[in-house]
Amino acid sequence: MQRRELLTASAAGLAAPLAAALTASLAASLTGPAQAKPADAAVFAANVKQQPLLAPFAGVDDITGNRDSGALLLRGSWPAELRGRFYRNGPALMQRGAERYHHWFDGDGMVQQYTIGDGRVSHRGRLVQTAKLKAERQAGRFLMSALGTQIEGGPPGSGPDSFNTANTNALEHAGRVLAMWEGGSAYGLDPQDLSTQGPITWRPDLAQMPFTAHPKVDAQGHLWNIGTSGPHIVAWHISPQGQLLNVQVGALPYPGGMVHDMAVTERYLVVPLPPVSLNFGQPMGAGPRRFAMQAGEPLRVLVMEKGDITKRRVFEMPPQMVFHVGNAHETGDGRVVLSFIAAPDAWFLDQGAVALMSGQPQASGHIGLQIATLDMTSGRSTVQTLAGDVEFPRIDPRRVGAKARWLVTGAAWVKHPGRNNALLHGVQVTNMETGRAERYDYGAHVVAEEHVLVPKPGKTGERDAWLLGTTYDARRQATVLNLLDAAHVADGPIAQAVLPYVLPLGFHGNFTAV
Amino acid sequence: MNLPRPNALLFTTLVTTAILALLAAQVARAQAAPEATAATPAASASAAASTGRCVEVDVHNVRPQQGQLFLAAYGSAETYSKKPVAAARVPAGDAITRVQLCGISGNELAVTLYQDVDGDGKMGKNLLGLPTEPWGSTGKPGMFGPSWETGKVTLDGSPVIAQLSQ
Repeated sequence: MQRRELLTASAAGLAAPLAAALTASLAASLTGPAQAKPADAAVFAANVKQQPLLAPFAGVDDITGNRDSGALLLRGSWPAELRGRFYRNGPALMQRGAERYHHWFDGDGMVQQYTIGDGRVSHRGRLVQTAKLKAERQAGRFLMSALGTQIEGGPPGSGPDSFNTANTNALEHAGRVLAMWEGGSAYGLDPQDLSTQGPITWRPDLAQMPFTAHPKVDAQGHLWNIGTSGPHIVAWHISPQGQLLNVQVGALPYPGGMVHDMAVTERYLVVPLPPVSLNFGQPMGAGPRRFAMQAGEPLRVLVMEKGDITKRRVFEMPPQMVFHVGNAHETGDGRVVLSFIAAPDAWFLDQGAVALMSGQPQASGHIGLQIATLDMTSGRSTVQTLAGDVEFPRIDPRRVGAKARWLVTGAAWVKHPGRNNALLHGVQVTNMETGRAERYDYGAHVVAEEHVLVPKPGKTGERDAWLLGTTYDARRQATVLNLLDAAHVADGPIAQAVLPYVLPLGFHGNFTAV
Repeated sequence: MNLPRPNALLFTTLVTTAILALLAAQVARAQAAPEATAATPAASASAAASTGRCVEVDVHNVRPQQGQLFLAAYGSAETYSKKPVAAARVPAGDAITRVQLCGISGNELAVTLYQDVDGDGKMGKNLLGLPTEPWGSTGKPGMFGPSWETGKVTLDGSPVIAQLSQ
C-alpha cells in the first residue's frame, strides 16, 4: 500500500528541488512550479554575470555543440615522449529553450578528447548521441525527468537507458571509448572520431543493466565494475580484450541508496554505501532535502570477493557521505585499506550542485580525504582523516588495487578574496603514509578539474609521472589543458594547451597512451 | 514490508514493479488473442467478442515496423490488470498505429500495451527484471507505470490515444 502511494505520488509529477535553484527574490515571487520553468535559463544568465567562475555551467547546445580545435596554442614544453589520448566527460547540454536543468548532474554528456603527440595538442568534443538526446532533439524540448529536475509532459521511460545521459566518465578500453553514467548501459564511442556507436549490451539478457561510471582497470587491463538498482548490486568483470568474463547479481545491504564509486584489491570489490536516501516523491513545500543522510544509518562499506560476491563482509562506520574512492589494497594480515573522500552530509548533492546550475554563490563543501582500515577477520574498522577540501582522487594507474603512496586530488585551501564557491582552485599530491601534501594554486580566477596521473614511459616510480588535467581560466575565458611534473607539483604546469573556447566543467576522465 | 528507497538515477525498482506486474497478466491474455491482419489504416483486432462496440486506439511513439504490439483494455478499477474486456496483438505499423478493439461496453476504458520489438512474443526484460522494450498506456501514465486512475479515458466516439514509452 505504501508502495502504491509512493508510485502514485511520483507519477503525479511532484516537485523538483526548485526552491534551492532559485534566487530568494524569485522564490518569493513564485506561486507555483508552473512559473518557475520559463525563468530558469534567465535566472542563470542574470546570476552568472556576478559569478564569472560559473560561466562554463551555461553548457552547449546540440546544434552547435561539437568542438574541433585543430592545433592548439601551446605554452611551455610538451615532452616528446608523452603521446596519447586524454578523455573527459561531464554534463554539457544544460538547457533547451528557456527550460534549464536544476542540478549539475542532469546535463547530457559530452566526451572531450585531447590528442597529444608529435609536438601537437588538439581537442575534439562530442555530445554523446544517446537515445534520450536524439528523442529530445527531435521533440525540441526535454522529455525525460532527471536526477534533480522533474520534466512534465514527456512520455514514460521504457527502462533505465531512456534516461541515460552517459555524462559521468570516459575511458578508452579495448579499442572503444566507454561513456558512462550510473543507472544504465555504458555508451560506446569510436576513438577515431568520437561518433556514438550506441549503448553497450554485454549479453542480450544484460540490456540496460546498471554499469556505473567508476570502473577500475587493473594493471593487467581487466575492468571491474558494479551497478546498483533497487535492492540489487551487479558485479562486472570485463577482460582486457573487452569481453564479458563474469557478471554476478547480489543483494544490497542498503537498498536503493546512492552508490557512486568502488575500489578493487587483488581479491575484493570494495563499495562504500553512504546512508543517503533519495526522496523523489517529496512535495515542493518540503524544500531541498531530496537527498539527505538518513538519521541513524551508518556509512557501510561492502567488501565482496571478486569471484563470488556472496562471500562478503559489511563494515559499519560513523555516517558520512561518500562520492569517490581513491584506492584500496590488502595488507598481509587480512586487512583492506580504503582511501576515499567523505563529507559530513549530502549538502553538495542536495544543494551545492543545484546552486551551481543557477549561477549562485555557495559555501564550501567541507570534504576530506580519509583512510578506512577494514579487518576482514574481526569485522572491525577504523577511520583516519588526512586532508581537507579535496576531491577527484586518482592514483598511479599501475597501482590500482595495490598499495600506492601518493594520491592526486583537486584541492581548495586558499581563501581567495571574492571567491565564494566550493569549486577547487588547485591540484595536490598527498603522501598517504605521512599525510604531507604538495600542491599548486592555479589562482583565484581558475577552476581546477580532475587531474590524472600519467606514468612516464619506461619509468616505474609513482612520481616518475605527469599530472594531466583541465582548468577553466575565467580571466582568459578559456579551458586550458595542463601538464605538471608529479615530482614537482608545487612548480605548477610545465606545459599548457589553451583552447579557443570554454568547455562545460566536467567530472572524470582517463588517459590512454599510444 | 521494507520499502526499497528509489534508486539514485532511475527509480527502476518502482518502474519494474508497476509495469511488469501489470503487463504480466496482459501478456497471457493478449497472446491468446487472434493475430490481426495488418490492414491499414485500422488493423482490426477483435478479441473474440460478439457483444459490445469497437473502439479505435491510436498508439503513438511506435518503433515503426518493428515486431508487434500487444494491447489489453480494461473497463473498471476492479478488473484492471486482471480481466481485460478486449485484447489484441497486431504488427507494429507506422509511428502512429491505429488498432481496433471490439467488445467494449461502458463509458471508461484504460488500455495498457507494449511493443514486442524483437518479436519473441514477450515483453523484454533484463536479468534484474527491468523492462527493455517500450510499454505504454492510455491517459497519463507518468514516469512510473500505469494504473487505472492515471490510465482511464472517457469514451466519446473518437479514437483513444495510447502512448508508448521513450
